[in-house]
Amino acid sequence: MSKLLEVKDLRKYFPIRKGILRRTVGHVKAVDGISFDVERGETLGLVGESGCGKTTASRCLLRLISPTGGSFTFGEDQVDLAKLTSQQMLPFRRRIQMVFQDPQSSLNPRKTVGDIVGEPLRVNRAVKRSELQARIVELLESVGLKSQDMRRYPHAFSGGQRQRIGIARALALNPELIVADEPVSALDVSVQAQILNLLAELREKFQLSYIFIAHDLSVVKHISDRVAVMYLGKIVEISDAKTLYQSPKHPYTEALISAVPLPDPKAQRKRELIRLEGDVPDPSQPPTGCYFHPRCRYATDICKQETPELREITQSVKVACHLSETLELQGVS
Amino acid sequence: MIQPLLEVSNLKTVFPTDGGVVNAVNDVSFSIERGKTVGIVGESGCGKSITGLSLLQLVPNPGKIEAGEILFYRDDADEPLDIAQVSPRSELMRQIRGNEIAIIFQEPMTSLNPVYTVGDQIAEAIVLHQESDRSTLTRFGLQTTPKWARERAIEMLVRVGIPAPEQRIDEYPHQLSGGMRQRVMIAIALCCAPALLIADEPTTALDVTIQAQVLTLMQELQAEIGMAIMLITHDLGVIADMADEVVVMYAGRVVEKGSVDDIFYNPLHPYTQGLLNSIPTLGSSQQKTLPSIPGTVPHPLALPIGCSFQPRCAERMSICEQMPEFSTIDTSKNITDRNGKHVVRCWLCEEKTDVKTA
Repeated sequence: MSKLLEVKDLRKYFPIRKGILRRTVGHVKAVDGISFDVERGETLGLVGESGCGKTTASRCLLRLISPTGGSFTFGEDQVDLAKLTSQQMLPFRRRIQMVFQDPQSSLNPRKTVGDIVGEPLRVNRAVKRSELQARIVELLESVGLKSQDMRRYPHAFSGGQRQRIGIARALALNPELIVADEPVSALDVSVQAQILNLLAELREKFQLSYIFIAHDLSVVKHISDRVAVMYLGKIVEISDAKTLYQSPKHPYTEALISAVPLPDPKAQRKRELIRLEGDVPDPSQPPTGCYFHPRCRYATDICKQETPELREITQSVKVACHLSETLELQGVS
Repeated sequence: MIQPLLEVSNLKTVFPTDGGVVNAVNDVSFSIERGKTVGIVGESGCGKSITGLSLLQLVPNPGKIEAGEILFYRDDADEPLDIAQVSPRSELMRQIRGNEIAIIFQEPMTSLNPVYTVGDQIAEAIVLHQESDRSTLTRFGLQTTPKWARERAIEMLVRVGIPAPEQRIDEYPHQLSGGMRQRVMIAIALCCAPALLIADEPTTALDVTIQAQVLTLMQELQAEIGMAIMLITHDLGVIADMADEVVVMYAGRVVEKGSVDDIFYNPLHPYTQGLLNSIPTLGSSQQKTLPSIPGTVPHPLALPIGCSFQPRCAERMSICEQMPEFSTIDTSKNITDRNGKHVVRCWLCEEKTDVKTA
């Protein structure tokens, strides 16, 4: 497999301005130096609690906001998208598409489904006008909608169907990478399963790669090949999905997994649960050393002083923890 | 037999709309025992929240409780009180709300008043229900929180695990994080030590680690006060963690109810089975495609004939489409009674028991 996306030290700092002169008094380090790769045809899951920077990271990758620093190269030609002007960015935009969380607010209520799905095609002049209709029908059918749905408006659809429309729109320009930001968290469980299956099916069919952002660890596990766990703007652990859940190497990952209640009452009663104390710290004033140390039950002196780097422990497992060699952490089997 | 705390039977809550009458809660029966947790599961629009609101006579306009009984066995009374017959605006209902039955909602930001400090909001509930001399409360003009109520409010903040409560009490809701706000909501709900706490999706808006904190807190306080919890959620993991009894709802009706082990290890209704199968789990049983329930929840004004789940059901039979039959065997015959508690509303189970008894 070849690398589709290579992210190096991506950073996004939002300035905090105060006073009449709007002087910058500090920064919220929303994304603070993250590095990862996405292989072609792979799904990378990005998990973390709210405010950990997963959405900001994805917005940077689409250049919806400009990153403060770092680079990310895309495709075979290894173009660094972080440095491009918006004009130069245009040809790449059609190759990276996004699926949003809330299908209610990401679809224009005044446009028909045909207009919504056809808009990227028209804007990019991707197909001839005579072929537009046929292409829209093809897209709708590939996400499980009917051709007559193209004349209806978004309000006439249920949440799951609206998410299908959003997916059809993202597929319109034959992208290589789809960034899906919490695509199923607004949906009911039975519909969630349908959308997850659809995403998996489309990945096979169109050889897509996904960056799948979610806070639900079980959903991420189901769909991802590899998973990156973020905490306060940093990646604390990245490894293949099975290993991550079976034997986490970072105490935060362990706590996250432990916090998810299993839909199995007997197993749930037997589990030893790790309760994290307190909240995620304020990202404008992160703790010293390892950002996780105030909530970590294994923290030692070194954790308070030195920030651990993300380092490779075994092949395909990278962890940012001083103690990962010595700790025996529990996962779920 | 232990007397239950609350007994709901054949509850029917309707919403007359321009398009027709929506039966949001249709013929729902269940009971809650003292100190136990009953989980109500279902997808959005299945009527689980309206069931919760009905118990407090808080059904929003134009909805109303049309039929059924909500028998509430109060501590001091011999005869149960039928909440369904109590007027929503009566003094009696006001005494029950917040004092004997409390509720916490999903979104703590919208259920807390942004212009009052959290201390005032906790103290309000305390003063309202525990102050015998109401003259200290002024509806107009400046309202001051009596000192004893403030102290009690601080005590409550300590109990729900909020650090630095002396400072937090004078802060406004926007200054607190989501988990803190939900703790404040719990503090308000529990300050009068209610007999029943209705928790409507209490952790849905929270992160998993905060969810774990809030659920543990609820369990601890339940053990301490001995209250019953009615937990409304769509998250089966939360149900497995918290509930003793489970009620599964679909399109306004109860389709299955039983103990938590019955529901998770011996689900009998195809909807319950589908729901359990369609959630991805953290465990190793990784399947390539998730078994999903086809289709979507029916529109409440266009419910399918017969069993509401029938168009999506994999084990549909011709009999499932027969509405008259379904309605006649509604409660008495259709529900199979196993171990006294596990009940299912499905033709499939009807057949199986017939075979067994024959």
